[in-house]
Amino acid sequence: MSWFSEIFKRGEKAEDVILRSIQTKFSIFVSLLDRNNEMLQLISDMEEKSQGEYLFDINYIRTSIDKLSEGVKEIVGFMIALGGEKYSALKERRLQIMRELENIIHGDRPIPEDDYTIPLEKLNRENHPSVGSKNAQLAEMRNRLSLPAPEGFAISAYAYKRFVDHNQLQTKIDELIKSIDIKNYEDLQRVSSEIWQIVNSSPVPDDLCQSIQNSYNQLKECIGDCRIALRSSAIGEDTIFSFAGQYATFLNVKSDEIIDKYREVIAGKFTPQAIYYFLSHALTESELAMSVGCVSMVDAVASGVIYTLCPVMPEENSIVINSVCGLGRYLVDGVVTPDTFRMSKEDFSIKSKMIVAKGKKLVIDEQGELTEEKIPKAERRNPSITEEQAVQLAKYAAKIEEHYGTPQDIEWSIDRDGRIFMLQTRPLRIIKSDEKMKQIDTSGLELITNAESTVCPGVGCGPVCHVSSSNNLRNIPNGAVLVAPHPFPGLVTAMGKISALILGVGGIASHTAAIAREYRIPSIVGIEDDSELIEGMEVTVDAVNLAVYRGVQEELIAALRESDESFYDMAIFALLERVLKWISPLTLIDSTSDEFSIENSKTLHDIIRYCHQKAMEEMFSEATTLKQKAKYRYLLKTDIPLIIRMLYVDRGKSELPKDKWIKEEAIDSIPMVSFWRGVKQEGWPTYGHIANPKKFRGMVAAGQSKRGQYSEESFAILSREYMNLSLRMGYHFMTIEAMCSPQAPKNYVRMQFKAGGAAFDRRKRRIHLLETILEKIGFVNEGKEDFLNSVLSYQAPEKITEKLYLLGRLTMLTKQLDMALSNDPIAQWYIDEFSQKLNL
Amino acid sequence: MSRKILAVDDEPHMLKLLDRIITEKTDYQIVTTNNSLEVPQILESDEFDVIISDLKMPGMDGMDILKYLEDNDRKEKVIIMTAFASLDTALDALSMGVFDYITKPFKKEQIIATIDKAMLWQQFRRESQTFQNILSQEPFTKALEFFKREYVLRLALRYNFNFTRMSEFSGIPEEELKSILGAPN
Repeated sequence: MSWFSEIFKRGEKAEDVILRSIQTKFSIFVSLLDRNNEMLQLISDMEEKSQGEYLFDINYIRTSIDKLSEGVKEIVGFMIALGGEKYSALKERRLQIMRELENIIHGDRPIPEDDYTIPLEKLNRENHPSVGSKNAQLAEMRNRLSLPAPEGFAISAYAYKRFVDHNQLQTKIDELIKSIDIKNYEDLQRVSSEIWQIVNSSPVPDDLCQSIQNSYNQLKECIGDCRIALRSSAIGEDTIFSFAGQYATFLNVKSDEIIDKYREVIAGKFTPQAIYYFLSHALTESELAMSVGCVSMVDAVASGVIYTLCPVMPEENSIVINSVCGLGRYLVDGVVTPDTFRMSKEDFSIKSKMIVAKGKKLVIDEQGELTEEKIPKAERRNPSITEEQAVQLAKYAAKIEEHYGTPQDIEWSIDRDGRIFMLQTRPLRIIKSDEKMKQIDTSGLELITNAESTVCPGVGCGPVCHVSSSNNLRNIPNGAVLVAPHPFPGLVTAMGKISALILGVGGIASHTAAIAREYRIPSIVGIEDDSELIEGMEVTVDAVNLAVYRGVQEELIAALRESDESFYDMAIFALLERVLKWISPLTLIDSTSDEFSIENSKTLHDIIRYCHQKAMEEMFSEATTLKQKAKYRYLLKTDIPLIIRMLYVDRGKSELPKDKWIKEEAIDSIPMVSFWRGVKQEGWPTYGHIANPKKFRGMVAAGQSKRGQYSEESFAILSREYMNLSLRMGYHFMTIEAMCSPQAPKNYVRMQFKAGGAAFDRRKRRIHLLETILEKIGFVNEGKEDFLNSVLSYQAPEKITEKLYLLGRLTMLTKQLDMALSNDPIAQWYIDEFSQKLNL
Repeated sequence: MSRKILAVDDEPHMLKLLDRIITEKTDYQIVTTNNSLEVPQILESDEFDVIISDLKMPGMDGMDILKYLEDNDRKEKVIIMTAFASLDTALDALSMGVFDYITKPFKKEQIIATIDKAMLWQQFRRESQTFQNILSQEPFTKALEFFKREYVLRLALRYNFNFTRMSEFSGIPEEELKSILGAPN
């Protein structure tokens, strides 16, 4: 309050100070409403974008969140300026929500300080910021679901940070990227390999080496001499910048190789793709952080992947098990076609199985080396797993799906002793297929070949292009139908330009298949002979009906064009959805309930709503308490017997009218004009309604003879768009506050009324009468007992003026009515009477 | 003839969305790259009608692509995608020969309408070139010959190479039609 005394020192009058104080608060209040309006528009804009009709990018989400963050920050600031420090908890609440949003958007949480290595038994899914999703989910299956899983430990993200900091890698990489003018693709590859070199030749610090070695020794104590699998487990793999599936995994690593392989996994993150990303997005340390899982190798006789729902035919509601002989790499790399078991989700029985010929497998040989083994001809058609094992796997899979609540993509292995190990689980991507797509007459088309199964439904056409390795990927014509003997990692780079994919072998479980689905490339697998597919020949691939036709079959393409236009399976939409969960839902609904609090604000929308409500309340109380002290400069000149003092809060002295008396027609406050029009329409009430006319007549006669004698002074705080009117009529004190601007979200009308004079039951009847009629007008009542507190908000200006006009009329109609409301039927009669009068 | 679009954006998500709507809603073919440095190489091996490019990208940005097209006398029309914030640059881009710009985010229909417009422009350009070519022939008889060939070609497309009907409606003898189109008698 020091500014108060300073002003006084300058000799300013107290009422001027108060006037200026209320003017300042009013301008803060209006700014808050402005921001409130902008933020609500921003939120609805984001909601609109999430509906699937718009194309937007990550920048849109980022910019929107930045704007929201700033806007809500300002709102909170305004709120504290209006209502004081009791609202300062809003700051922390806002920050908490912003942190959640940051986490979703940037994956930009600081790398948590942790041990360099952590045994699996000490982890669960909540540890993903430290050990990455893959490790965390493995531990979750092992520890929380008690499913069989290999022993092992995770090398944490904190260890990565140690490695990077020790070698000052972040700076080196940043500098290298800044110093090089990358002009073409070769430059990019060169830079990328330079960075790879730098990372891969940086020493792993001693303490980290020691920690890894200790953990390995403990593992050895637990399960004996063993080799391990080193698997990358990226941090924030669920964030938008994940380069999932492109990281290295090393199988069968010997104890003396662990450190080198660990470093190689880290270096593997700096692909040309990632470097290009670096150029446009300043990826933070944590976005590049990498945890590595070190788990004991399962000496697998069979391995595979389980989808708890078929990603291509989800309507079938089966659990799909893909399995191959030996290690699972040949399955996920698509080297061999797996056996397929479709299991019932109800009783885990086998609905169907497809056992294919399996020519080879990847195994660990006697010396402990990885080797490819031919499968003898006689055994090729043997199922890779037994039916009992399939049933057991299905049960485990169902348990995992139930635990996570969404369909899962699970990797597993079975060792020589028949023990099952779950290796990994992650959410499964589903594509809807359309049943009606399958009924198309293809009898007139020339069939070249059929396929065994689809990995991504749809139809595509173009010239045939055969590729067999990453080396000949650069010359693929745009729009080509790519034919490959099996999927290989490099294929991913061609996804942007091909129109269909035909694979000799492989299954829906390979990484390539997952990426084809992500890109929605119509893809089929299981072509025994691709010699009919001549290089350059135009073909149409029907990945719904598993056929390849000669030529460009326009009709088929048109008929099979995907009807599902929703983008909901796209990562960017999923991201917006996740972000919106912290932004748009409104959980603070009832402002009168105890739940309406800062602590219960769960979203930014809640904070905005809370501030809007409290700002109105603060402004209201401000206006009602200050007015008595201030000198009100203007009086309303009217034939209605009320003394109304008026104060303008939106203009400086020079803009104020000269004359102390203001004519009704000179009022320029839109809400006041509307309300007063209603007052004038009804006029000062006559006393037909009054139950005890004798008593009243005397009072009113006196009031009419001498202006305002029985009406205390009423006050109006006005701006062009705002009105806070405190009407005192006899025993009654009624406040009407309204904002009427061109922007609907800023607008509201609030009527508060505390009845006086009559007995409690009569006052209650009067409140009930007002409430009922106000509800018909569109107000929501928030008051209790004999206190009326009705609000109407977020309406267009023409609606607001219309409601204010009705309110003006209602005010006159009900003036001092409670004396008449001796019983409920009379009250009801008035309700009906007034409703009819007001055309409600 | 299928009409082709090349989409360039450093944001793969944007490309996936573009790819999806173009494939689902139009007959155009679309090729995408999230590495603008690949653009020259893609253009060396293929021709496009329209290039949709982000304005700001590392390596080659939207304006670099435009310049590359100019320097190499390419006919592709460029549609620039831009964030609202860089609208001024987008307006500058228009003066430098960009066909149109679209501010992100945009509605599916918006980008399709813009592409359609560019495709129509390309069609008009080809038509106009054909007529320029005919009108610049000397002597007059040679121009006539060129015109006749173009006329017959369109006639053939209209009647799906049904020479009897072509002759009936055009009044040109069937033999002559065949010889003009180089079809076997």
